[in-house]
Amino acid sequence: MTPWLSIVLWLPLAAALLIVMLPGQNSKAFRTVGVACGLVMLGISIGLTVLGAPLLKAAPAGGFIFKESIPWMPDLGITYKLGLDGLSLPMLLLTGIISVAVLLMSHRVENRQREFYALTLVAICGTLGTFLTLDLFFFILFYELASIPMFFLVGIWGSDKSGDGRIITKNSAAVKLLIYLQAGGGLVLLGLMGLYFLSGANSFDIEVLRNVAYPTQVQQLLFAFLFIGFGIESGLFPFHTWLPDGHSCAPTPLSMLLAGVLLKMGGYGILRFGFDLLPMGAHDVMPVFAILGLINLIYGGFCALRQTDIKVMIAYSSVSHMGMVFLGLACVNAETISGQMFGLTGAVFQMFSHGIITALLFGVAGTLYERTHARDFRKWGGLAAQTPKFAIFFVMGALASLGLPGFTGFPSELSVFLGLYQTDQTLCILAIFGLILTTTYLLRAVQFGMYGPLNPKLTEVKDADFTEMVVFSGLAFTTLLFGFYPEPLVSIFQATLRNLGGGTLF
Amino acid sequence: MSVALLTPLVLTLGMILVIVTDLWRTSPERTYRLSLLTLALAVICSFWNMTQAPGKIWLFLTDVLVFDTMSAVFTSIAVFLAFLCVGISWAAFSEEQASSGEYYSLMMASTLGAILVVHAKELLTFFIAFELLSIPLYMLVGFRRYHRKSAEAGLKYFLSGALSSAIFLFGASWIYGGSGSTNYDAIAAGIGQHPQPVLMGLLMVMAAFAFKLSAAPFHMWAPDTYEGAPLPVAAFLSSVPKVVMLGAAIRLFASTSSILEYETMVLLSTLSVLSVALGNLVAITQKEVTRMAAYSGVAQIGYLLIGLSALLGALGGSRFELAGEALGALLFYLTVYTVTNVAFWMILVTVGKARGATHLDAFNGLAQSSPPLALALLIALFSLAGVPPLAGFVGKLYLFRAAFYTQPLMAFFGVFGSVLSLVYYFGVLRRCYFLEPPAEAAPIELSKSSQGLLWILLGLTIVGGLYPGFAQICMRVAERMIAL
Repeated sequence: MTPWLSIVLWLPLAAALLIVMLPGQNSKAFRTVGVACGLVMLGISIGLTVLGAPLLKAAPAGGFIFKESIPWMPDLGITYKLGLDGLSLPMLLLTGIISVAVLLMSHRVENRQREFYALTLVAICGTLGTFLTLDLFFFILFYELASIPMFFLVGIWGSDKSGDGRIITKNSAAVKLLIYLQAGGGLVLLGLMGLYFLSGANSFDIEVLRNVAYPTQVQQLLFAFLFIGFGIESGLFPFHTWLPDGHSCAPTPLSMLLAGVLLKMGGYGILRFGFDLLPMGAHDVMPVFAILGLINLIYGGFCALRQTDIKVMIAYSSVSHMGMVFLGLACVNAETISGQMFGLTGAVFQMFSHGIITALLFGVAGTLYERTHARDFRKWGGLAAQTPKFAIFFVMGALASLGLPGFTGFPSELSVFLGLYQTDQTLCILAIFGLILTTTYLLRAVQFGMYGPLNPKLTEVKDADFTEMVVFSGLAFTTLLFGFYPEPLVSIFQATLRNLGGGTLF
Repeated sequence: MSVALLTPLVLTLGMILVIVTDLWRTSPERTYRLSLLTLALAVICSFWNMTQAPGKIWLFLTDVLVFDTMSAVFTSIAVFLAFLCVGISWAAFSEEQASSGEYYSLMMASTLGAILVVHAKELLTFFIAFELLSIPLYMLVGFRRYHRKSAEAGLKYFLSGALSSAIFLFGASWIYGGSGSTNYDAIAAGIGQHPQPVLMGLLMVMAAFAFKLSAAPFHMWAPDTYEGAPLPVAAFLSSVPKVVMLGAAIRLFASTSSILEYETMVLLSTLSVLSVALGNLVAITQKEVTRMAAYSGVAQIGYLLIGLSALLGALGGSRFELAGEALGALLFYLTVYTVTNVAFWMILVTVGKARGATHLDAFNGLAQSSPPLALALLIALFSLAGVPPLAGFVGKLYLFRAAFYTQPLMAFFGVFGSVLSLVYYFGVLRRCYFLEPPAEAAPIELSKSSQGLLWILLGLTIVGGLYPGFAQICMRVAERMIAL
């Protein structure tokens, strides 16, 4: 059997090595290799999704498909093990889509292109690895592989935020991002080490560890470690401050990668390790964290409302939307009783949906920043007259993000609210207030940035070129496709969610 | 037996040969080659000895020096590191060519002392070896006597070193008074009903060890000394004495651990907690990379002491399998750390020579002016910081796993310390990669041989992380040591 997962996983790393070794300073060659790698990855991930969906339905409960396993360090119980289930499949698809978008959008990077493409591809490899691996040790390894290139990418190719409000330099943003991601990684490492040591099985293998019954108190403690660690990676309040800094200072393609895929590692990790290996911990501890998710949603919304810098605003909107994911996860308790999985389904769907939509928003906003040299959207004034194509996609992104029916934002958020209503009605009503905030800040940005009289300084700005059109319409198409017809995607992960924690949760 | 004696013999002969040839004013380059050849021979002899699996052999006046697996292993590591440090001396130290005979013979004398330290089975012999290790180092640190900082460093190191010798002797006298013997095995047997004097003595001996290991709170000399000493000497100072002192500590405390298990564990844990916390925190504030390296060395010793206390805890509880694991982890991490550390110092030496300083600013834009060197620095620092999949990470994983069974809190503490250490290691990398090089900066050229050596060392840290074989060798060796 062809090891498809290994191929799609190591392809970006191979491409990165190839780019490092290419002779000369031919930026076109770097780009060709990068984009070709991205396209092959997208092809494989779509193929695996199409082939895998029926296989998953046929597989036994909680089983993995396309499994590969090679013993690595038998002394320590480390295995190189890859596999797909309903949780990782949407993430694989998401990574495939975003990778192509990121690599295509990288053509505006002007200096040190060789390093840029190589580092981006390494980061993509790391991110994909965290989704595919079934071994805790390799998870840590891939996590570092994903997060450390970010430090260099933000620090070298980033831009400073000046203008109104707090000034953020790319230097401080990179250091902040590194420290927060590593602190989160440290907590996760502690949690995973705890899983490993306390199991007594001397194995890092998820499939072995999920059969271990940890004592309830241990589960609660470890789950708290994992939740906060992964939460930091996903911008959980009060550890979210790296996110606006990092995302807003990052170069455009990297903002797309960070918000599109890297942010999802946290939510995925909570489900994969927290819910699946520590079901009792999730059951007892998760509702406590619902309050943090609510703060994320509301506070992130208020912060976004205050911003005039478009990239910082989108970053805060990510904080707000990740709050929705946490709230969805927090529904687990009530849903255990009712047996319906609105909240969890919504959370996973929201991760996918937010990845696509935010990548679109960051793509448009970042490109406009490069064209107009202004990040303050009030200075854009009436760009729709000058650049109608950008305006269309920006409005589409904004509408998708605020949850207009027809886009993926709508079914995912609706599902979270259905779950929340069953869990706690007060929480649900408070959370719905967050929707109003989202609508306000997004439409405000659209109004000030796109409509009104055109800023006379901007009459020279060019509209989107062919590459950008391809990327934007691809992302917009995806969100529309699964917005109108979510069933194929939802059915993939719903079965897996039902079997989380060996079926003890539902 | 003959094989075990070869290494010290080669070193002694080489040292004498260097001194004698120096009388005829041999060219400095020839002296350098001669000492490098001697050390290479010593490396070969020590590795050969290690493969011989010698059992126990007593030598001289019964029970003074012991030649066993443990001394063979630590000798090999120490001699290899000394070889590397002498190897980088030529490039860094060419201005001292007039007195190269003294320089290289002192290096070899110190290495000889280092070897004997791990062979000593008795307190007085240990002391002699300890002095043979230290006294040449006092001179080497102050070797650029016309240089204010070097002279100051030499004096500081000498004063604190002399103090640590005095404390050691005082402690040894308490141990002798309490147990009636200076032999390690006899000490354990003679402790009897009243362990207090022996414990008091052990406390002082441990303080002396901590001085040489630069574990907090006995680390004060390290930053100043590293900053002022000639760079290859600082590289030597930060690796060889640490390896052998750790070996000696294992030997001494392992023999007393069956009785004073709890006390030694508490003492060592205190030292390691202080070292990890203080080393990592203070290193963040440093602007001079040599000083930063000194503080990071303090933190690294802290991690190693976590492993040592785990080992002693396991030995004290007679859990030999666990003790084997802890010792193996200790050996692996010690090797990985010291080798990576020397690679790091090699880069420091190169940059320091080319840019005239080892201040953080000297690293500005290194990635653009000399990309291979910057990449080498990146790998070395990643391994020191414990970024997977490099050997530094796997080493820490083994170490904390061993600690987890006896002292779970210490393992958690170690992980926190490693996260903290990223800040300053990445601070250097930030300068290398984010900033533009200064206008007059020329690309830094490395000689072919040192380039090759550097990449071999860094290749080892990558392979050591990805290929489990090395760690397994350490585990097997450790099992053999425990079995004896």
